[in-house]
Amino acid sequence: MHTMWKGSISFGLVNIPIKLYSATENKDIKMRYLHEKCHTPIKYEKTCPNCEKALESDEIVRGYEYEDGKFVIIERDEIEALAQEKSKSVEIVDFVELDDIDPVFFNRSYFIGPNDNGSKPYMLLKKAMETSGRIGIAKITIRSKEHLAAVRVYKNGLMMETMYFPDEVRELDHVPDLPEEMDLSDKELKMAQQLIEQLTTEFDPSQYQDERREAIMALIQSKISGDDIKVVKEKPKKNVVDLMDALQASLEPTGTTEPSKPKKQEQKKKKVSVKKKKEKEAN
Amino acid sequence: MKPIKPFEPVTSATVPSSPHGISQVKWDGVRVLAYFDKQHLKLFNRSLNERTATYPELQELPSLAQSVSFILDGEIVSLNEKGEPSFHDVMRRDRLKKANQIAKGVEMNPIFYMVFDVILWDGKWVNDRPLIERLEILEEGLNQNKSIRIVHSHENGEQLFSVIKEKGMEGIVWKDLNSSYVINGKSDSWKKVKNYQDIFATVCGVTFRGNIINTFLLGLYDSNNQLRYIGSAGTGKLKNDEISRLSEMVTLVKQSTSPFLEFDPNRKDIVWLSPEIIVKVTYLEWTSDQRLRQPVVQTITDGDPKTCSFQQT
Repeated sequence: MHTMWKGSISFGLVNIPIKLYSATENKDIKMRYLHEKCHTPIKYEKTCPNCEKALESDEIVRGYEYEDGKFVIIERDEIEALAQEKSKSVEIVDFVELDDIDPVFFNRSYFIGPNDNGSKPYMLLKKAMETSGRIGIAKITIRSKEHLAAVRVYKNGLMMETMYFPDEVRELDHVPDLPEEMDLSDKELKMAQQLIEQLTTEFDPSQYQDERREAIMALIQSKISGDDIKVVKEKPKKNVVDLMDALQASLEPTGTTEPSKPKKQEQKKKKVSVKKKKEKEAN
Repeated sequence: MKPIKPFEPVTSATVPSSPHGISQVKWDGVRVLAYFDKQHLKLFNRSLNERTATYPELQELPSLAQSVSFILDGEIVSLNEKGEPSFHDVMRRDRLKKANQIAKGVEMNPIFYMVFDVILWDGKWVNDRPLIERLEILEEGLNQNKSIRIVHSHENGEQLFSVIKEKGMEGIVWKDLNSSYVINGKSDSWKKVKNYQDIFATVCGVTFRGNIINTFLLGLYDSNNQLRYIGSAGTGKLKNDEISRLSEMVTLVKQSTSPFLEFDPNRKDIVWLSPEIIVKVTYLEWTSDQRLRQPVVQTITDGDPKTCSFQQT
């Protein structure tokens, strides 16, 4: 597995060297955009509309638009300098119950593995969290962005969920026409509860597949293996053998062969004719 | 077995009237020789390019031939839905390279092998034996099936040619019954009489209507190795997939100047091409100023553009 990040978890005085690995992968089917006429992958060109000029990557800087059309330029190393102070460390600041965190906060998942000499403190943290049933809330900087993160026990190891900061989670109140408290009849509520009861099952992730992706993949496979739908539209030539029989028969001088059975009979006849000819030549 | 270059007929304007010969249909397709060395059947075309995998239908030849080894000469042909020989359809098979495409081609676009001569039979070279004996070998020793057939020999060439004209087929080949098969040879013991003319020409320019190729500007090399304009043709019998394949090729070989020796340089509508694309063109006749009358592009073919010369005619 590809290492995403190297650093350490620190809590209190303990420092655990770790590596992070992506725990999930996006299986979206990657398509490239091609020029329809010649099937060449198209090229995206960064241009400056003001200078009417294509730009190289070293000519491009980042700016923050603090007011319409007004930018402050932020150099890459300026950002890196800020991140440097805290980076390389997952700093556990609190321990909380997992149930305290609403799933809306969770962003991406990473597996945590021990780095060199990290195995023992890694195990220690895992065991301690397991017995307490708590998860650690930490701060981490990945790719120059600071994240809130939850460190928790997962199976026989540790993992980390990066989390949105509270101000990144929108308010439900902003959804229009959200109903206020209203009176509902006990009967209706009971029916709804019964329906839920009936549909209740154990969560089995293997039951769910991305059917659309599978359908697209099947289409792609069929095209690769030559069952191109364009070709499928074309019908096989069916009666060409009969057509050839008919054509060959129609090429024979009239009255010398029966057109219905051109093959065997003509073959014999021709043999006779060639032999006859040979005799004629010999004479 | 080393592949050989086949015997070629000379062009004749009239049907020979000599009684010592027979006439055969000149099937319009791809000349392919079949080589069987007791174990493997291999196929090579006239330019000695291997086509073994291209035409799996011919793998039945050894089981049809009462011979431990052989070299047969014949033409791969294909019929269109109307039952007419279609060079275009043969080329669509001839181009296939991938096994799955070929398998599909066998089903969608089956071909016939029209056998007309035998060069080696039962381990012996028979190319020096007179044609009449070689035809006998074929008739007695080679069984036919639905895709492998022996070309019929006709005594009356005039009659056959009139049937060919009526059907709009390519022509006939007259062969001297005493003639031997000259490997890599060309002699008047075989004479082809054509009903319509055809020629391989290079595409030196195209015009577009919108994004679609509209006309081809055709060229041939003259004796000084200069490209001469011989006329323009529409997209003719090409199918959409071939036109889009051509459009791709055009983007690869386009150039800013005309490859022709002489041409109106003010024609802004023409996309000039380096002469690399070869097409087979049928036409009625040559005009007095060395242009093709009623040229029709039949298909795209492979080959050396330098062979697209006036010497073909």
